[in-house]
Amino acid sequence: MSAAHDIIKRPIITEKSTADAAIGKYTFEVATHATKTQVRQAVEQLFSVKVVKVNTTNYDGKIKRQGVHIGPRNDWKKAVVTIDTEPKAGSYLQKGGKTATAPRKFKNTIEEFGFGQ
Amino acid sequence: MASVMEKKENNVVVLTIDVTPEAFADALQRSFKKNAGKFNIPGFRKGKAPMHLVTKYYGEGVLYDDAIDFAANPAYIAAIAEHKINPVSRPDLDIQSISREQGITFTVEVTVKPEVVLGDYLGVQAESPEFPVSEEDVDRDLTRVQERNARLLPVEGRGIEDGDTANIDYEGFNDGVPFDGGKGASYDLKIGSGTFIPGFEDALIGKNAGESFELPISFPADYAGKELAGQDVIFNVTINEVKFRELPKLDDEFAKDVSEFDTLDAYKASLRAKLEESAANRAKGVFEDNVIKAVVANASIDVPAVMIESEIDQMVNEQSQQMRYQGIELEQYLGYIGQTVETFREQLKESAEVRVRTNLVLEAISATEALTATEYEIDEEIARMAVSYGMTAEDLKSRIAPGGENSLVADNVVRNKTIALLTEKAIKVAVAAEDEESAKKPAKAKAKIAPKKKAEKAEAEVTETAE
Repeated sequence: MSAAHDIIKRPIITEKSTADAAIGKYTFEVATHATKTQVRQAVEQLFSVKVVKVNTTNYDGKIKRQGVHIGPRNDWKKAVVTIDTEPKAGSYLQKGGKTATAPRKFKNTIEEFGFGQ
Repeated sequence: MASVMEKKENNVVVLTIDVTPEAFADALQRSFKKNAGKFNIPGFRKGKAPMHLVTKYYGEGVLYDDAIDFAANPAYIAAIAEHKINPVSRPDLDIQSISREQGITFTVEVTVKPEVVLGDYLGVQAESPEFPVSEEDVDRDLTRVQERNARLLPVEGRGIEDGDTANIDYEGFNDGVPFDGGKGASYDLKIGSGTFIPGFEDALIGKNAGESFELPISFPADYAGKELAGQDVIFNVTINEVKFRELPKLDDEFAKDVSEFDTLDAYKASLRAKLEESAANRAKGVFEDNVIKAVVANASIDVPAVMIESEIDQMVNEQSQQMRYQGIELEQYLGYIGQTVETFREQLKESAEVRVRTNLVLEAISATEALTATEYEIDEEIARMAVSYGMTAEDLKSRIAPGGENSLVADNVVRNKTIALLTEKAIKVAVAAEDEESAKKPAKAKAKIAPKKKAEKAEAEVTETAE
């Protein structure tokens, strides 16, 4: 259960999220068990971007009833992923002052963000 | 926005127009703005979804309808201006290809104003009928005024004569039974007017006021009411009063009464002048018509069917508007006289063609003669129209100016000027002498006017229009 596609479930597309996307914050529904680190790795892998920050929040599923039957919807987790919109190709300063060379180029947007994920 | 024009027969022109991708993208943007409120996407309030999401969700096609309008219309207008064509039909648009990357390529098929080949138009010969005013015409008018001023006076000392008006009560019985419509009281019956069934009025002649009598009479066999037709009936008639018409004497006194003139001769002279004026107007009108007909006949035009159709449309509209003033719908009226709109239109076709031809020819002439309407002439025309509409000139002007109808008035002025020019230069031909003269002259005249074939065709058209 740690494949990138299992972590990132779907994009959340609303007025708010599209407005955020313009400044590099992309919103996804992610697996409830996913950690911020997992989300970061998954997004970097799927969309070839450099993630700067991940904010997550848990939502409880709503209690719904159908006639006499009462039951909860699934709980879910939302992650707002901030990406680097001006990624420096190649080098990043790592802990300890060493400069590491990133093996790949980063995109500055997630073009797939939209429908048909 | 490149466009290519290709001429086809019958005044049809095909324009192939390209719209650049940039212009099309712009049109899509406008189309999206116009329609944004219609798109409903979950997560967005109406009208708030961004364009790229809308096109993803609904497909780009939803924006095409309006985008084509936005992109094609200006392109079409530009193309018309570029090729200097004068369309008369609605353009028939056909999209060849459309995409965001390539822009649009479309063809437009449109009928244009036909070229008018004018024949001779200055100095054409036209019949100029005269409508002479005779002494009898004046007398007839006078008699009419006399009768209008007649008085009804009670008759005394004699029986009813033809032309008298008898006030009667009457009731009819068929076998002793009163019948519908057979009864009336204080009815003013003019003897000799033929209002009642034959024989009734004659039977009253010679009777005196105050008399009551029984009148046996039979209804005519072809009487409209079936129960009464051919029946022998008896009318109980009472004569209340008898009056006769007294015509005023034709003398100076009469002239003073009915007019501002003091003597009968002066009044007669004025009647004559009026008649002569209207006769002259009529003669002028007929002559004008004949001149225009002759000029139109000299020109050759290939009139497109759409122009005739739209003229018919206009005529039908005018007609139905007139009908509506009288409180009838055109369809209803046509129903009464046993016609349908289709047959009615068919009837109008000929005169519609004549109108179209006339308009085209007059337009062409005013263009060749470079006749234009001056500001002053337009104002004059507006003032004239204002009088006939019962408005002030300023009022009318302020009403028609905003809508750009001013050009209509100007067109009218130019048209009148053209007609005036034609009539002025035209040669009057007396009606009676026309046969001889046209027999002598036509060969020469027509050879000058137009190639023989055209002249023949034109002649055929004249006879058509004459019908």
